[in-house]
Amino acid sequence: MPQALTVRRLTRSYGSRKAVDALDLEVLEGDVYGFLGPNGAGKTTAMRCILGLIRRDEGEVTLLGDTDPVRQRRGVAAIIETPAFHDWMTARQNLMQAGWYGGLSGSSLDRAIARVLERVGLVDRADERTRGYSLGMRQRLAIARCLLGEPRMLFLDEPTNGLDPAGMKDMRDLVRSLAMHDGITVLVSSHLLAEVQAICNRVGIIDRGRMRAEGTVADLLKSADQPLYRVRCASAVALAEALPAESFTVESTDGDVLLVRTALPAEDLNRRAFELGFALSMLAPVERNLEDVFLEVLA
Amino acid sequence: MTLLVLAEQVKLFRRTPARLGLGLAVMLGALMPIVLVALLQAGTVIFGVEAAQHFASEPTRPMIWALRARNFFVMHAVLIVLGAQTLAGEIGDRTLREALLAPVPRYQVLLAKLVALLTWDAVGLVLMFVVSGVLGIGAFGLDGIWVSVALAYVLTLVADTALAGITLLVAVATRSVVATLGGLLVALILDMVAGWAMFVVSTGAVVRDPWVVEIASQHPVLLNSVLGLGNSVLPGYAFDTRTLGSAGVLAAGSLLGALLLLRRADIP
Repeated sequence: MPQALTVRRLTRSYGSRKAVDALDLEVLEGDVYGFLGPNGAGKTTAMRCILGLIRRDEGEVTLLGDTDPVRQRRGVAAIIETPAFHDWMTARQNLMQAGWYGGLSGSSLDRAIARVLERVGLVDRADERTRGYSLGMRQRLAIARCLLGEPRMLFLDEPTNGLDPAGMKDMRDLVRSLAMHDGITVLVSSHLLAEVQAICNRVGIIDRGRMRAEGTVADLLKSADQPLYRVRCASAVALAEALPAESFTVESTDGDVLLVRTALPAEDLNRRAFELGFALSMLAPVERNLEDVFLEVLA
Repeated sequence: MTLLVLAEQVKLFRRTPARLGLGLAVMLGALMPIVLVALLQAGTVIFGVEAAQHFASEPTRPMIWALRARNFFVMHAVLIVLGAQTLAGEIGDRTLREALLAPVPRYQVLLAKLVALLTWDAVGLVLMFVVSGVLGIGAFGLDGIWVSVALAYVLTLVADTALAGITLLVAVATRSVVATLGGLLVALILDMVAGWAMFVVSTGAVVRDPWVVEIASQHPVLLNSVLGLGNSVLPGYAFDTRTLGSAGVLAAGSLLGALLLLRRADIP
């Protein structure tokens, strides 16, 4: 897969503080790339630098194969922080403005506006002023604005911030369908890890302006450690003592629940417990999630 | 670039102050002929002289009045408000960020905003010219100094270009509508003080150095004298190419400054 975005040694300082510090980043075409980091890690600053909204002190950005800072924004759309609109104009008028700025006009712009309004489900509300729009509607209108120019790559900065659960699900479904059906490469920043795990195939974790870990979600979730199982058994303490220590490591005991680490398959653990005279009421693998990876990387 | 200009024009004309301003232009254009007719008919005496003698009754006279009233304060204030809104306001409410995410260079965005401001200004001037002209002809007939008056309207647009440029410069420097309005007010006051100072110096009473006196007497690059550029082609004034030059210097200088600042600006 060719690169959609390559960032090399991107640096931006505010006074003596380096908000983005020699950041390297690579997004492949077709990726849904999760850009992770704690609050204040430099995610938004990095995205702003990449999109040319703020100066960069150093570094190179290649976006869709182009290094020219203006031209490379062709084919790119973005939502940075809370989307802003001219609230004294209607949604349609706001989209007209964006279309003209993006080089669309006349009937092709009208068609594009009809298409994107349909896509985000705002057809009925298009001729209302955006002043009365809820946060979820503003977010959807912002997506519509992004889709006007049929972008090849989309930057989304905390797209579900402040949305209610239904709004978050809508946004997640929309991002997924943009990536799957429209083939748009997406870079989405977030600190909601479950969300990122649900929609992204690759992630980068940044902290204090630097890339700490980058890779596919599957790779990052692989652990060097042996798999861990949660086991429930009426006589848990006795089981913990009976299991042979050379192949099973009991990590903890909590009431009737054990955490057991082993290189053997789960079936072997079950058979062994049965042979020792214990009946298990539950045996489940404990899967690592992105949160574990995130906390390990930042530790 | 054409589409950027279109976008900015449509947006500007949808702003409330822009509409109020155009309404004001029509009102001033209509009011001045009516006042003039009323004064003449009432035989009002101004400063011991009858109004009829004070104001020659010719159709272009109301247009001159309207232009003077326009240049006095209100329309310039509206132009400044619009300039502040379109740049400082859009930085503040983050809509400039959305615009600059488009693949357009920043200088084009600034120029489009300037063109939109000047379009509004020109529409206001044309409205006033037509309204006061039609009413003037209705009241006084067709004779008059039409060429001078038309030229005065055109030169007013030139002077307003300098004002618009300075507004955009202050707007991008301060990034706040309030600070832009305040900054322009301070600038205009300082400019007026500088004008008085130059007048005093030009009398030769303070400094006798003929070189200094000569410079002061020319009032170089003063905004207030530039804003009166339109008057300078009217009877009773001497047209001064140096004021025209000052307008050019102010317009070009402030725009260049605004461009350089905007190029380097971090957009929130």
